[in-house]
Amino acid sequence: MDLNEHPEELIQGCIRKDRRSWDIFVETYSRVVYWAIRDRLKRYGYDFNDEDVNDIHQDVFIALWAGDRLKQLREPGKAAGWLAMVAGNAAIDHFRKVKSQSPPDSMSIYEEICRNGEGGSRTLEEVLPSAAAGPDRQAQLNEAREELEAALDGLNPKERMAVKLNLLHGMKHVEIAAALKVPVNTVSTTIARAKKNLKEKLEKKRLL
Amino acid sequence: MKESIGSLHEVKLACPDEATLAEYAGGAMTQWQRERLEEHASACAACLENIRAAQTAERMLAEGALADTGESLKKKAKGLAKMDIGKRRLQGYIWLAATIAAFTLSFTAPKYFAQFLAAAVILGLKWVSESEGIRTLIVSMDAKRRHEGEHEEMSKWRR
Repeated sequence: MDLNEHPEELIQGCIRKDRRSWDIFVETYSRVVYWAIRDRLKRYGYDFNDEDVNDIHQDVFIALWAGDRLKQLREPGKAAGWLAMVAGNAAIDHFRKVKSQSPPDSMSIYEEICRNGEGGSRTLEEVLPSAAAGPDRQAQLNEAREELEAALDGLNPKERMAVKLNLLHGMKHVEIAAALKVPVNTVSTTIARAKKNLKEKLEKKRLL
Repeated sequence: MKESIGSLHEVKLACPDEATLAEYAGGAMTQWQRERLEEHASACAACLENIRAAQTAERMLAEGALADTGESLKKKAKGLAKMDIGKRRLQGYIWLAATIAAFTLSFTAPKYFAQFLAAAVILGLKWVSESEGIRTLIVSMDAKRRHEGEHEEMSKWRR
């Protein structure tokens, strides 16, 4: 039986400490863990090197094998997603414990706010008028975040998630639709409405 | 508690664990459970970041878009299966006990102070050289402890 085609069998094999299952598991998912660690550290703005990533990578696999962490996984079909979350959180824990560095207080706001379409990964920090620098710039960003908060008033939790996943986390509409299990048209409409609302607020305050 | 846009800390204590978020992504929850989780996640940047990471990883793996990590990292991870944790733990204790014994003897037998102190340093270095095994042990015990602690906390998301 090809264990890669049967994630449930593969995970159960690892839990039973079957060496063949573990080898296949590592071969398949090592890249997910590696990517997730680097992704999280980059997005949270940590200064890291290959040694950090390699240490965290090994720690994650130790927790999975020796710490029986795989027993927590209840959706074997979503093993890659689960592992990406576990690895990303392990990266944050590593920097918090080993290097005494906490994650940032806030996420960057993505450029999507002042665009009509999708795409691009520039953050609002890069888009805001560059005249203000230092504390003034930080104040501008804080104000923009407050306006975003106000622009989300009246939305239900799922709609707020959709808007934030797009504007703060840089996800595309189609990815959000898949994550929230809603039609992509609904996601696009909600985001367009929130962006229009926010853009008006930011222009009124001369932040755009 | 006032929750703000992009806050990564404020609601962290009540965050669902990764397995619960994976259940959400897999559509395995009841409507009521989903709504509870959405209410939390809509105000929690850490959970939203986890959802983004999970969704992106699933897509990239399916598309074959994730780069291979190289043989040395995989070999190290695969090697965990060959390691007998109990045996490594015992070895670690033996080196540590020998270090402490030599250090103590260097004071109780002053005539051989230098010899026992040198022995303590050598044994201590041997203990440190086993640090990979010790680190493994600490991480695995920490993971087990957390697993037990989180189990009760997370069960509320499935009620």
